Amino acid sequence: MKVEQVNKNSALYPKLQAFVVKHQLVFNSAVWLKNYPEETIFQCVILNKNNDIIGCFIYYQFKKLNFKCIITPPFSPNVDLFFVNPSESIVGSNSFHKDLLNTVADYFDGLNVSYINMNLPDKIIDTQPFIWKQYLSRNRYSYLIDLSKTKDQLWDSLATEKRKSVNKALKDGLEIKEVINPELVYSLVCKSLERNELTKNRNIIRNILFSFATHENSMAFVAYHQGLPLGATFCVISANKAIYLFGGFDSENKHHGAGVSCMWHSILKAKELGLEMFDFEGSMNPAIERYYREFGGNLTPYFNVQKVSFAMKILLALKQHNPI
Amino acid sequence: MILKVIHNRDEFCRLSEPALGVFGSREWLAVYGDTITIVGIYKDELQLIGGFYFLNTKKYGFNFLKLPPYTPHCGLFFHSESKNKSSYHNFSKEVISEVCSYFSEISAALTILAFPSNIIDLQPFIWGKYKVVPNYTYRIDLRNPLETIKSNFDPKTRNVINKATKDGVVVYESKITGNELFTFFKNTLISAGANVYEDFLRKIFLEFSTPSNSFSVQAFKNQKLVGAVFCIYDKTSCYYLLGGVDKAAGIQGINAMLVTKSIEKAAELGCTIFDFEGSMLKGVEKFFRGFGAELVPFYTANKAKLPIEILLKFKKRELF
Repeated sequence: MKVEQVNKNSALYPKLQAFVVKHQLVFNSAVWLKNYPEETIFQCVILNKNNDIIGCFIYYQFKKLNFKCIITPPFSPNVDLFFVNPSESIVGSNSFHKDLLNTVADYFDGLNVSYINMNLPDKIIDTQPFIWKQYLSRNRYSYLIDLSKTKDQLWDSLATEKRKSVNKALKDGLEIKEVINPELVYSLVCKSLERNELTKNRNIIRNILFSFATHENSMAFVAYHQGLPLGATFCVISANKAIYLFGGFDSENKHHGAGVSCMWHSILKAKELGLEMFDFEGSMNPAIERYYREFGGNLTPYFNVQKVSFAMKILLALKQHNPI
Repeated sequence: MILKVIHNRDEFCRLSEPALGVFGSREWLAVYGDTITIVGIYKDELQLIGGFYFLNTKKYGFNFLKLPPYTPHCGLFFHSESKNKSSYHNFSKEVISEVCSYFSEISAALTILAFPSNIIDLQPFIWGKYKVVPNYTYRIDLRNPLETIKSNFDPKTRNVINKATKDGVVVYESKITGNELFTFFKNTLISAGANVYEDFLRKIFLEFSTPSNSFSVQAFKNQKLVGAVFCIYDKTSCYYLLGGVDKAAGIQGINAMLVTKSIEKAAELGCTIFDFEGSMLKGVEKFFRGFGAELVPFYTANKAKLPIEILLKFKKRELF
């Protein structure tokens, strides 16, 4: 088993595209990767002994103060590590899993970078191969709503506060509309980013909304009051899941129920589309976590693996930023 | 919500045993005598809804909070009346936050805890600056027929079992006394370089162990004891607590034979889960994996004062 980096000029590129389409890997798709500057986004294939593609993943690489860093691509929920496990037996499957993750960990070690911080998909629970290679494995959490529930059950799962917010929005005449208006969603998202003094990666958001988003692969809802847009949510559809990526609201024309109602409509739309899950993509920020929690999803852990060079650790400590 | 130390163990065990099984039983907690701190989680002054336990020890003048040796977790459990999912999560967050605050207020130099595998929400510990790290155990579903369970074994595991049988190794159940088991495991743990908590180990074999909560299987060759496994069990689960072989015997497959016998015995006792109790050691993990079990994560929360943390970043990298 081996890992190989692939780009548009690689002989393996067409096969990789077919693999990505076959397995509905949105975050590995060419159209998603176009959201990122070419020099920052990397895609790899995992090959078996016969050089067949059995898996793939993505990562984002940049330089900061001359330190090479690798992270989960911004706005991708994880590195979209996917693989086909050929083993039929439990032992074989567990051992294959271990070998594959060991190979992936070796690949990243070979890149000789100062900082690695990657989220793994929630289906990957075995991080021991990373731990044994001196990575730190940490828990992260998302809330996932099971869309096989009826609309009434989904409504009953909401916290009382959330139900009140949706009802208040309705009572106050807010209109929630599904939109294909990237400019409008972008402006609302930017307003939230500005309030939170987050200026990074706006170009990626712009690309996601203006170039990537279609009616088939995503959905956006906007709450209006008397014609004025108040808030928006944007979700990506990935295989059987809708994933909430970002949202925003206008603090000058805000309504308590605008964002909540947009989210509630996104959940209903995901159900209507026959998707199985609605994924809030998690947050370790206590306020945001609470906001997501109140939609009544199942708390679902996923793992984050990290490896930081000694010099980088000192730098991060000086900046009082300790991801570890 | 009120968290306070419980002195009346009957009050705690009335709830903890149904929730935790053997690790919440009075008999198991008695192994640790007064060294263990048992904390009750009360909804109000009177209504106990959960609890947990830990050891508070001193070493080199430092205060350490840790798990009772030979116990896989801190026994945290709680009952929620919430039916609404969101309310349940709110309640769970509140409980775990209170538990985290309880530990933080002790302000120990080093805290190393593990939680039962059903406790997945450790975000309050992450927010409390603990390092939350996954550990893993393997579990076999004993509701499957034994033939199916054995057919899931790695062929290599089956081969070494056959080889040990051919080499004349014979496995018996509970053939030696508690004292002999204590001596055997003490010696094998010492030879493996593991910590031996002699008092607790002795109590497990001589005071806790009865046929209704535990069993041991032993391997003999030419009448000589060459290996043993000790398991404890409750109504649902059987836990592989200790296992060891006499390496001087130079026979492969003894431990695999003993585990197979233990799985058979656990199924016979009506347990539905055989739990290997996990290991982060590469060799041990590979051995457990060979029995075709399912990998199950559980979570640990670790915190240390800065100088100790720096030391542990080198010594216990997987936790810090």
